[in-house]
Amino acid sequence: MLTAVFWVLAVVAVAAGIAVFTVDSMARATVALAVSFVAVGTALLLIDAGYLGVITILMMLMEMGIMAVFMIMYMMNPGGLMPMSMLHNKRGALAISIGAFVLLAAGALLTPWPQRRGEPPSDVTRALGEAVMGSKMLVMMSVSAVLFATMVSALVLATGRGRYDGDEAPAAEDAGGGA
Amino acid sequence: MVLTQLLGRWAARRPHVLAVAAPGATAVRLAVEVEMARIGAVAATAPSDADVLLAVGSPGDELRDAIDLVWSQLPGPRVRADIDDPAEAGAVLRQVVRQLSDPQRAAEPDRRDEWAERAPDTHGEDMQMPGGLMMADRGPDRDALALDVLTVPLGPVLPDWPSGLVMDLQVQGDVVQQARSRILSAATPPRPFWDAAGPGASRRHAAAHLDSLQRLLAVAGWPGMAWRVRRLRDSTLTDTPGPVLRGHLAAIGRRLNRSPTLRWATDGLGVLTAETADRLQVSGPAARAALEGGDVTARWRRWLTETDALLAGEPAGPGPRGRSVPGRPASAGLLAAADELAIGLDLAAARLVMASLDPDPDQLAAAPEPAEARS
Amino acid sequence: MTASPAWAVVPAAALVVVFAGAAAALDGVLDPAGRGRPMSGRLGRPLWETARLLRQRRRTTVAPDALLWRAGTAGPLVVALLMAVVVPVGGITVADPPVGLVWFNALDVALWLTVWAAGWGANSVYGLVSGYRFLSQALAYELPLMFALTAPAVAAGSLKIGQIVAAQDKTWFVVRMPAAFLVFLVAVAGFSLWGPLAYPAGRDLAGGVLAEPSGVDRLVLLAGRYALLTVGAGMSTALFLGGGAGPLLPGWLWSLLKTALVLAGLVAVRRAMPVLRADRVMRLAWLVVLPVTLLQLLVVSVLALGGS
Repeated sequence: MLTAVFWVLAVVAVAAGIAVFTVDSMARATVALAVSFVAVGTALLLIDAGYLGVITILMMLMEMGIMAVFMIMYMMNPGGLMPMSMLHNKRGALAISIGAFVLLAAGALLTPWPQRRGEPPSDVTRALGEAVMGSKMLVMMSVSAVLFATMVSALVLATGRGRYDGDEAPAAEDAGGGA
Repeated sequence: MVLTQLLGRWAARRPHVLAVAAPGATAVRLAVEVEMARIGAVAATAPSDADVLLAVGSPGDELRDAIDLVWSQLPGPRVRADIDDPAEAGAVLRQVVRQLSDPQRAAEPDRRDEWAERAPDTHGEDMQMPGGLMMADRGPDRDALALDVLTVPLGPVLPDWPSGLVMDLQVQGDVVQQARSRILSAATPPRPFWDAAGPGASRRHAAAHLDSLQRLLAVAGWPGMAWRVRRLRDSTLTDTPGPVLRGHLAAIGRRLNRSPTLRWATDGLGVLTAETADRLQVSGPAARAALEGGDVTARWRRWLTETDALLAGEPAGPGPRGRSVPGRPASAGLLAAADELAIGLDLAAARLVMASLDPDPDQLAAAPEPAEARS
Repeated sequence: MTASPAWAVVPAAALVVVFAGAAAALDGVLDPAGRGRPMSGRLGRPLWETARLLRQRRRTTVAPDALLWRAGTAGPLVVALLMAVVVPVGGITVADPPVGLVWFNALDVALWLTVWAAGWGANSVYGLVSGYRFLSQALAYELPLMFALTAPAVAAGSLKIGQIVAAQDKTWFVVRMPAAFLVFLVAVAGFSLWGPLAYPAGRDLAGGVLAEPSGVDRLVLLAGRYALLTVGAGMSTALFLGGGAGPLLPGWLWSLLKTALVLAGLVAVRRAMPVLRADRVMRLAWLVVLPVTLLQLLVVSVLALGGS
């Protein structure tokens, strides 16, 4: 059963990945990429890596949403009106992608994967966090909060005016208009 | 079969009506709105949302074409009717609803969406333009980027929009780069409904302000409050005693003034300075609001104050939109101001500004050459 | 909290649909335009509207991206049902995965793409603009929502909804983190395109994402909005209002009562204020709400450290 689900997800992921390059509209390419990532994220759920799987889905969907925001900056034709090729710099891209694929596939096939020892921990998410950050957990968490606050305040300070030109008098108060 | 009939009966309990009014048909429009409320019909937001298409008044050729196009976009089951007399609004609406629940109507088997099946045209060289549509042009943007520009007409069929108004916009994203408004003509010379003179003038002008206010509130996305103001407008046009009306108005005014979200939506938006008002020959409440901040908030507050004064018995001024001179009705300045102020705003804000100036199409379609008068 | 067999998704979905219908009926009752009409006519509004839309033909537009459009309009309902899987009713839930909270969050982010696609696919200016309106609104509410979700997780020391509910056996989290609770409710309105955050479905754009779909497509989209409100209310009950905790009555009934109460509040808010434009929401969200939620999270974290 699990194997069957895995294969379905794998096929969906690869097929959607191919679709990214064969469809002729940016909107569909964006969504195809999202579908591919969601399939990968779901595959992670199969190995009980719940947090990693769901967070992959979350981040990737969000990224595709942001990508859609940027799309409007470059084109206004809705519905993929003008069919356009999703391929640019074909030769270079092909070389790079084949190289990356070979490297990753070799890594996956040649690594001596260890046998499972013992039982999986009861709380995988906690174990994952401790494995990644260990004793530096508190430091990492404070750093992330500080980083985030810096990013937000930098945005607020940098965009003296928002996208809508700040129709309330002091323009300096404008928040970063996101788009 | 029983199920189809039941569905038809249920569906007709709350028909969605798209009423497209021609300029100069304000009296008929008001009657239609009252009758719609009476039978429990709702105003449709778009052709896709409508079961019934009503042509209100006598539209001119261009508006007639627009109505025909909209008719082809109604999903169906659909019914269409014309109303040109306030007295017949109720009868026509009731008949339309009867037709709507008729299962035969639902079928329309030979229906074709001609407009959705437009053949691809070729354009220029060998470029296929899907659906025969034009590709967006590109233009410079505020931040010195070259962005796609889309030409979009707002209106003439849009909810809570002045009758027969078309605002030709150039937008980048949803930000207006250029705006040019015009009023489609009516088939018969329209007589401005709100510009009454004589004994009933105060009431008529007060109702005009309330009509503007309800449109602004609906555009701001507050349909419940817009409905209250609409009711007040309708009773202002009857012989309800002034103090009763003023009581209702005061209650509405308190709600509006105390709503931080409304203030937030309208504060600082579309500021019409006294100089601009002078230059464009704007008079009336919009010009007086220019002395009180000149933003959308100042204008709706002005409507509240002046409506209250008119209901209290203050004599009516030259007209609810201000003073008209021959060849240049008061609304011409308001329309020009709306075009100027819309630039740089997003569509929602531009619509709020238009609604807060609320040019009266009856006046403009009545003017000999509105296009020239505006420049 | 016990996980249920797979067939439990059927009653869960039915429950969501019933509550969504009740929310729509309540909205009809609260509509001032119905005042003076018989109560049966107002309560029956979801029925009349459903009949209308079932009878109505689906329509298409000039050169739409039909695939994305149809998928996008179905999206909100699908997302709501997938969210409902982790929402507990008393001690019962369809599934209680160790990362239930992140599951909920990931699905609300999935709405970014579906609502956007629903707007984009119709190839209409109104839909296109409103799809982007949703994204800019989402950028405003999503970060505060994430921090608001983090607060109960930190306090309970778990991402498992069941444990978050269990951690409220002494005090409900709404007492300890009122700001997070409010932010969560506002975000629910945001991703349901509801009330003051109905900007992407704005009347000023002829209904925005609702401007083009008709018939079944429109029905599914409207039902999706109410279903999202329902699931959001249910989740707020579990995260902040102690889930099924309460005297005398059984847990599942308490859960449903609290959910109904929150849902009614969300529905009613629509009548109380106009719609906010995205630029105003953005300003508020990033300059006020985000710092407040971060402070809230700090307080919760300090309390959690002190408690452990």
